[in-house]
Amino acid sequence: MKLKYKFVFQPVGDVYVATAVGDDARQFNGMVQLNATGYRIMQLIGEGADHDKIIETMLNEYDVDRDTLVSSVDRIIDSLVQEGVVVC
Amino acid sequence: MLACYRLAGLTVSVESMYSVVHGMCRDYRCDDDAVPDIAVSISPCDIDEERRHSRREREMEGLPPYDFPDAVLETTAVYRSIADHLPQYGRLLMHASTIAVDGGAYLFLARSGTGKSTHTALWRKMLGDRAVMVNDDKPIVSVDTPSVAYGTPWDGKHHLSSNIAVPVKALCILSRGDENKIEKISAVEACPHILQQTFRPTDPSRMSQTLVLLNKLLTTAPVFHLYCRPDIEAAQLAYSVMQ
Repeated sequence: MKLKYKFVFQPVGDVYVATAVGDDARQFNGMVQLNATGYRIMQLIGEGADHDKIIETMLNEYDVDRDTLVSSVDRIIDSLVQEGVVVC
Repeated sequence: MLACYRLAGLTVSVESMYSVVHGMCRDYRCDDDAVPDIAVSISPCDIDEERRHSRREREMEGLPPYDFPDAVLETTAVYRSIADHLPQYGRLLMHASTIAVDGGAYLFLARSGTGKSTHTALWRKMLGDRAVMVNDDKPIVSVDTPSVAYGTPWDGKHHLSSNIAVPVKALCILSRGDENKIEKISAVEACPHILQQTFRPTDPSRMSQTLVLLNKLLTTAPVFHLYCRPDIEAAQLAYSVMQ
């Protein structure tokens, strides 16, 4: 799993915004709005984490049970794949 | 050809291959001996890149290819180069028809062809001398409290602009609608629309600065979404709600 493009992230209002930069900006001209969880997932994918690593890392960072976290992470990754910003 | 200009409170030197850009910028000329904040120098490569960019943009908008003369391409290459440096000075280049009324600037943002210029023309018809065009196409906004909209020579096909600086009163995303309707929207709702109409540098750190500035702009200035017909009632509604 990896990010399809090189992104920069910044908070805008209550969300994080991801936009592609460099030559990738020509391929992906839009933006992605993320909540804090989505932002952390994209960050971890960008660092090269696989699914298991994402879950283990976030279990240490969030006060949440494994099943709930796995369900949230899978849902968010699915939507990032659908938006064309993450490739499995 | 080399000349210096005062744009959005910055000194900009422009070294070009053709004279067109200097004729266009003549109202902004300054004879400042100081080191410029931004120094632009255009090469044939920049013009070739601008030609490729123009082709891509026209393709994306479904328009047939058109070979603009090099001197015209150079004018956009100059502005692109200036825009690349603006975030480090707290400024953004925006695609907006911008009108000043009673000392406050209203920015109408939308894709080309939506009706931004038509709408601000209705404001001028409605308000007469009280309304002054800051820039009909690509103003520069200095993001501050308050933010300030600046006229620039890159002012659209009707060449409507003034070399003035006006505090930003409000931003408004404009969409065509069957009925006239306006609503205030949050920074999060506004962000995708406004970002689409904001110059985005390809350099990662400049893009980050752009997003930081955009966040500040959208959380300090009110943003509205206007759905409208091209009629005077739309201008009356927008002005009455946004003023």
